[in-house]
Amino acid sequence: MTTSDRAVLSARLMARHGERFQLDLPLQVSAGEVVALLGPNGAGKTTALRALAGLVPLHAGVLRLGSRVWDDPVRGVFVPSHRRSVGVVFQDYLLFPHLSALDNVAFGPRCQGFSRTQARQGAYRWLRRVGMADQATSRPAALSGGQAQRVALARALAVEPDLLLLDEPLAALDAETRTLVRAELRHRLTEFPGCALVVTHDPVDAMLLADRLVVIERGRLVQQGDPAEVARRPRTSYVARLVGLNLLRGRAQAGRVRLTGGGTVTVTEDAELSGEVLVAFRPAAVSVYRVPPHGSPRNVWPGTVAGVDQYGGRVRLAVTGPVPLTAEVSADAVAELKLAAGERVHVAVKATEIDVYPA
Amino acid sequence: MTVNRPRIRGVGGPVALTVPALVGLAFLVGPLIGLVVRTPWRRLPELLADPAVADALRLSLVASGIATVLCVLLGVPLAWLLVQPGLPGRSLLRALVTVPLVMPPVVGGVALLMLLGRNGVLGVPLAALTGLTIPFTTTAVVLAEAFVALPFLVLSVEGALRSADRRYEEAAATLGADRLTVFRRVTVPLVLPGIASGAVLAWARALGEFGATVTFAGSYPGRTQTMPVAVYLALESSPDAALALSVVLLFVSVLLLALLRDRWITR
Repeated sequence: MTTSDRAVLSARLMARHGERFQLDLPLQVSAGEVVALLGPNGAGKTTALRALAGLVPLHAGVLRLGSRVWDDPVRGVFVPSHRRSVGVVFQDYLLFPHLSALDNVAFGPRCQGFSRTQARQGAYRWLRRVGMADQATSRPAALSGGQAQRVALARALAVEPDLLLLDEPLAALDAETRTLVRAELRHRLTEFPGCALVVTHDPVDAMLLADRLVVIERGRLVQQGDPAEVARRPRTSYVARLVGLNLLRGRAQAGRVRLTGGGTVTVTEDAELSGEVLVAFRPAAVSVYRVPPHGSPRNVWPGTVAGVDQYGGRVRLAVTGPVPLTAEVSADAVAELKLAAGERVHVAVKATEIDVYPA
Repeated sequence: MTVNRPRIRGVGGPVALTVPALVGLAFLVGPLIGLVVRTPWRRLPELLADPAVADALRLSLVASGIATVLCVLLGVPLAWLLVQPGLPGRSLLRALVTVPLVMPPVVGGVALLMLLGRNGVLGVPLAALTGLTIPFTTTAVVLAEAFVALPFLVLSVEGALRSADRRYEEAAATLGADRLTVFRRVTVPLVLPGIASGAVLAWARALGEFGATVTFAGSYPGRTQTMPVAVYLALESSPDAALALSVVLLFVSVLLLALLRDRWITR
């Protein structure tokens, strides 16, 4: 199959997730595109992946890959897992413990009808591609986490799927291995001609692996877009926390935003912006004072320090008050101002540091 | 104030518990000692070389071997069926599988006669169609042994299937394996230790089978007279031969225990 034949994944995934909520996720992935499905634990990411893989049926909606319908409960169509052109890298890899790395990778091609010899030759080429040829005869139990991840990827790719699904592909790795494997995975995904979907709760993995982010919370799509856009203009407090921004919600009018939680923000840009808006700014853009500052037209709010956390070489303060936010200050400032939990402070943000965009 | 220290270490303990414990142990070990002491060890080779003994030994090994194979061929799929999600009437099926386990083997033999005997439910049409009669043949021995041994295999494999990680089967399905391929290439290899111990257990049960065998197959030397039956009959005519056969069966049991020690003894 050539690249041009590769089809677009187009779906509205509606599935039950226990009693807690129902997944309802519109999802499009183009051939050659890598989409990251990002969300907190229990958001329905794994349910979505299982529905795509054919491991759970949809109860409504539709799942199409190109012209082929994989799942359409209304019309009574359900293509089982083994008839879908799909490759899955599971979170803990699920390499068959009784088979060598080579036979794990050859498993898919064998099921596709290749002879044992052909399947093994193909599997060996895949192992070489992921740098695991020297471990071909090893059992999964003898592989390190990073090695098992590579074998699992080779096994999923060896069936040359139209849709590649990766469930938290780096979650089981230690920090050092993770960086290395992430770079390799990025490389493999770039080469991959089909649709690729990476499920993750890690924003760094999502940003570095994917061309586009799809963020879900409680089974619903909350934001999607290219990683830089999502990082710059988060739409929910979950996404804002992930990308490390303060996010406030309010109503804009004539250069000012009346916040939903009370208080007002003065903004410079987009003075004509009106209606429901989101206000975002970096924690480092927040200044902290013991007494209210005078002078330049800045946003100043009273607050109380609720938490103090080391963050790299700096300190992050959680400040509660009419405008709850996170401030990032130097360790010196903390010592000088004696910013302990419970202290009353004033926080200020320059209007030029604030990004306002429609909600 | 002096307090009696709780005796946790060592073999000590309240006499009210230690004494019945030791009596219980003696009760289990004593008869085996009696058997070993009374066995005419010097004449053992000669006794076992007796054609009648050799016949019983050969028949027992062959019949229990075939019965075990039969148990594996039927029992593994049956265990698989019992763990299928959404299986209707699972508790009832499990109960039916377990009945031969708790039922007196003699009753099993009678039941087999009622099904496959000359006047049995299936025995009559079978004889009419093929001229075959099953009772009191070697086939009957195999069937009687398989009947009592099958539940052991099914329950052992079912336990293994239940504790196996089913996600491997899902992984196999995403790689294009249909359900039979998944069963053959993933499920069975994953539960192989369970199948092996189930088969050993079933074989031990088949080898020791007496009640159902003697009821359904009788005791024709060389044809249906297995070792346990031979031991029982020889106790009257030649006690030494009975002892020799018993020792052989005891030896086999100890050997089985050694084979299964990883699963049963070391805990």
